[in-house]
Amino acid sequence: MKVKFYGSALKYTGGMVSVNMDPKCCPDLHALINELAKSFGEDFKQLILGGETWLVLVNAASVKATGGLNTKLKQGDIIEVLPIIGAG
Amino acid sequence: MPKILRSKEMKKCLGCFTCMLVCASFNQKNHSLIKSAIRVRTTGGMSSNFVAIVCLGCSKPACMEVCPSNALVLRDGGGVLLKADKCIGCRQCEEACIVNAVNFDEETQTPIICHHCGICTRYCPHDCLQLIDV
Amino acid sequence: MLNEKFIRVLYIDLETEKIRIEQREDLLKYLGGVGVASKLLLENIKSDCKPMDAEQPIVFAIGAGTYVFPVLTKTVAMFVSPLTGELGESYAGARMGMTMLMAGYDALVITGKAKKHSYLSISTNNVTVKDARAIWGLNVSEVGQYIREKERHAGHADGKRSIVYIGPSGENGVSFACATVDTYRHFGRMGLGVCMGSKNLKAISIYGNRSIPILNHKKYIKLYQELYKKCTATEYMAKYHDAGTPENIMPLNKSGGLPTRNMRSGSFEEAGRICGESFAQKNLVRKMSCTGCPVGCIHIGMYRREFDKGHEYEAISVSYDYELIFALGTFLGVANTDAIISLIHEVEELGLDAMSTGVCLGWATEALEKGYITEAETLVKLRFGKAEEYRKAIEYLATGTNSFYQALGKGSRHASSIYGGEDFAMHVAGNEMAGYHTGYGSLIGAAVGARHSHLDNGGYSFDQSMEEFDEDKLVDMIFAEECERCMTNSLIMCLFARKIYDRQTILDALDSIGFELTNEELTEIGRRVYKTKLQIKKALGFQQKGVKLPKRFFETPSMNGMLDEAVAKSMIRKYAAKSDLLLAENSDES
Repeated sequence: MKVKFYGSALKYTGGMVSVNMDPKCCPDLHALINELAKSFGEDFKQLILGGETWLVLVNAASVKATGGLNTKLKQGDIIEVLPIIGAG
Repeated sequence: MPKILRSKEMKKCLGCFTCMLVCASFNQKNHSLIKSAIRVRTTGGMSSNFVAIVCLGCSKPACMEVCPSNALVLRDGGGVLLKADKCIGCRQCEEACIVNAVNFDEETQTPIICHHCGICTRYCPHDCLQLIDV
Repeated sequence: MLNEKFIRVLYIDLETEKIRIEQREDLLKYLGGVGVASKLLLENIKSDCKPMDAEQPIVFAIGAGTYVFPVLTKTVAMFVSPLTGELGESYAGARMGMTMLMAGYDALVITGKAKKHSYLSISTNNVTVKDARAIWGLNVSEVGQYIREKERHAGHADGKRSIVYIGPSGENGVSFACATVDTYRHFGRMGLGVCMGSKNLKAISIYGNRSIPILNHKKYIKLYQELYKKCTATEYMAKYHDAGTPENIMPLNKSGGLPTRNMRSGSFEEAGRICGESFAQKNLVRKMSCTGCPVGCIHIGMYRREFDKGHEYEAISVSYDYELIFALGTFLGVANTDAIISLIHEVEELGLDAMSTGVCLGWATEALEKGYITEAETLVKLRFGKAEEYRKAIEYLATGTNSFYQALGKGSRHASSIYGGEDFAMHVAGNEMAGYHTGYGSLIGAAVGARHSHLDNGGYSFDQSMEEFDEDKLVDMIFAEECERCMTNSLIMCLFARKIYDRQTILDALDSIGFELTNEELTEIGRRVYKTKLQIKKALGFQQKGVKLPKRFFETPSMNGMLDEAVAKSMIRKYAAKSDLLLAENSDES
């Protein structure tokens, strides 16, 4: 599975634009966030789980429609983490 | 160690004026820009560079030399300190400063003299100002 | 006025060149900013006159805490919008708020029409109407240069001066002409520029040099330090400084909410070439702030334009933001950062609202393609993606070269009512759409919002955060947020700081500068101000429930899927009912 980061998400990943993850470790989005937090820190976790609403897409579809953090993940999925849309 | 204010990174200046706001607020208990020792301005409209007019902390201050009433005394590290009760408001220090760093306060009829406290450096969000050891 | 128990209003009659100053205690319950401006506008509009009649007022107001706290940076302008025919409301940062405070005025009410081309010079000790004959007709960048020379106070201004000015568009009657403030910020939307132009007012220069002793030093300093830290040390504001608002491009694109090619689609296949990262890497040369804000969200982009053979180059610099990249980029299918900057530059120089310009040109492009109009009207072959043709069209728009461009200059609603293609003229109640097609939140938010802007109530935010669509809940949320922003726009808080200025913070900040309020009173103020705006809109003949939305909003899927016109109508009806209730409320108005 590939996880891609955009915009201000890159600050939390130390500039890493994407990372490959083993589907075995993360059956759903919640597990994936926890796993990523091991490398990127608790701040990253908090960003998605609480406070700022970030856009997370799985295979180009918003996870809002697929159960949010309970969204099931599998081999070959592309997960994209995008910053919240503000004004400007 | 005594310190001196410098403005070495003004090319990064955002023009936020926080330095002037805090100088006036902390040092003069006033919200107004006219009470700030440090002054930031453009060199010709917003598309031009910002410059900071700061006291350079001369070891032989010209302002002190011309003061007729000894209201300006040498500061440890450079620059001067103002003894306001001795000041007669003649404005010769303002005229004498080679870098235009003396801001004359019309309200109190005394000059506003930078004493290199560094509050502006602490509040600059873009690290344009420095307090260096001398 | 800061540290005073009144709102200080400067009334200027441009025709008689006489002023009067009032110290209005009765306006304190409107707090400041949009609250004060709304009441002043309501008092001074002539509902039986047209938007650009000399009688109509232009009101500017600063907020209760302007400049003295971080990110309370804006000035509000309120007027009768020539674009929509009803309430005009617009905000700008830069230096205006600070200089008004330094000059000693909470609000300006400008009425009448100057006898000849003029500019206003306002300083702490003087107000004069000055000769602008030589600078009338000049582009925006030139005007600033001359007025800076002329308005030299006490040697040099030392940053204590702000200038608001219009370009040729405002002089030529373009309904969405803007007013530029200190080069890089604007009262962008709804036509303040043409209101000024119709008053023969080329510019307003404000210089202030008052002393303003701090009322409660210990309290104020403590609060300032806390707020400054929140604004700089936390992540809240970081993205506005980093790549800035253009960061919105990729998330909107990926989620299908990015209006593209006259909103035929919600995503742009070339978005990657013009996203925030692309601009930052290819064009960003500088970041700037409005005075009083440590964030630095103004992004200046530059490109080298070859203006002649023989290696003749010039550096074109503009401030760029998300909405401009949408309006002059994705909406027109333009996929190149340099090209977008050149279009922004054209819009800037001529004093046009970038958003309305882009959306109007988007309509014109499709209308040409479909045969509603021909090249006899457009003069150039407008095609999505062709920046050079758009650049020329912008010039024609600003100068009203032919009857088509004169009509287009009155807005896409007007132009499409004459030439057809109303279904794809992407305005909401006459104000061209903003860069969000995210769902019912953004659409209804714009329909019912006081100035038909995404900023009125942040509907696009609810489209992202709402777990499941609930019609009634969304209507309530939009209404509540609209009232809330009426209060924060009285401070005047830049909306980027809305997470920092929660209710308690606002109360503490106001308390430290002598404004003691309760949480309930803040709510009351929001409702009071919103009610005043609704009164203005009613007086000017606007009916919320009468808003008709162009069909395309229901034909192109939004970020949250296809929208249903019946649902939209129902939501507008429900919202209008809430507004009517507020209007009917007996309150303590004088």
